[in-house]
Amino acid sequence: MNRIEFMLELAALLQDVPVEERTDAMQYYNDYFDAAGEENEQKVISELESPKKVAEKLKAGLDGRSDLGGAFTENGYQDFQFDSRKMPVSGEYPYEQSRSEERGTYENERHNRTAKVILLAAIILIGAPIVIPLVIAIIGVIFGVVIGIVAAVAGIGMGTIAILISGIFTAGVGIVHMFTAVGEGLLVSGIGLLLTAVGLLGSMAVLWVILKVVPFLFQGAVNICRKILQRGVRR
Amino acid sequence: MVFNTGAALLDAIVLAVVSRESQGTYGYKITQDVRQVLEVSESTLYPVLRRLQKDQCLEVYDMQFDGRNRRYYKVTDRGMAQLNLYREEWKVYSKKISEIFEGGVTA
Repeated sequence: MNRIEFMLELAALLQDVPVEERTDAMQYYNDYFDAAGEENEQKVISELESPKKVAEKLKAGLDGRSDLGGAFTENGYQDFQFDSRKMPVSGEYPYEQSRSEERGTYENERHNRTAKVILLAAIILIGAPIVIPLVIAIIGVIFGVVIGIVAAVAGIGMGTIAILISGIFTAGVGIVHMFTAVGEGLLVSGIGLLLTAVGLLGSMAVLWVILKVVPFLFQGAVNICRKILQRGVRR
Repeated sequence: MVFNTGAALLDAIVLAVVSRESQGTYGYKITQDVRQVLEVSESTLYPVLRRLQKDQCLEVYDMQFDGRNRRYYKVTDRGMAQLNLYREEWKVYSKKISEIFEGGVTA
């Protein structure tokens, strides 16, 4: 599993928490990977254990439970601890100023994020019905053209082979006829040899097309499809 | 470690770690610092930070670092007051425990 897979799975697992909590957590873990650096990516992933674990702890935190892992799950000790936390600082404490400042930046961020989410949703909702059939149609057309070319080449190939076979046969018949009617026999075997030559030439040309041009065409078609799909994914 | 770390103790440790940086510090560093003294899984710290933030013991701000936004955590006045309470409580608590441990008959 890499970082991107981890984040995608985490996002999927956090679908049922409020948007604000989800974006905050996603940003935190994104920052976390950034700060750890690329060289520590696997280490971070193994120490976070799994997206499932991260999501579980996060949801436990939201529910007001504090699940600190195996050692902490004994005999309901945690509830006692949590409830008995003393909070000496009440509302009249002079933090009002810093709090309102914080709220200002926070509000801005939230607007920004909401706008991004709406934009993304709009692109997916409006774009998908157009983009997805379009991509499928383009891929369909490309495959149609490729199959058409292949069929045409195969047809011409069969034709030339047929000419080759009939040429050999005609030449054979001409040679047999030479014993009874020299002139006719020569003519027929001449035509036969001519056909054989045309057939051979044609089959060689078709063979060349099959060996050189068709793989090139396939490669081209595959490349085009890949480009379209990549762009689709990136979007 | 054989002893459990309760929510309050973990809160106290996180607050103490964050309070060491006057300009604030970021999630990865907090986690590494806490893990130097305590065996906690990396996924444990985020819910703690988030809760402290909601309790207004921590405030967050974003700052550019290496061309990216990085979220920094800073202890608020309320957080400092909470941390000082924890420090006092810990002093009393650890003293009592130590007395019991050291005052008993040693085999």
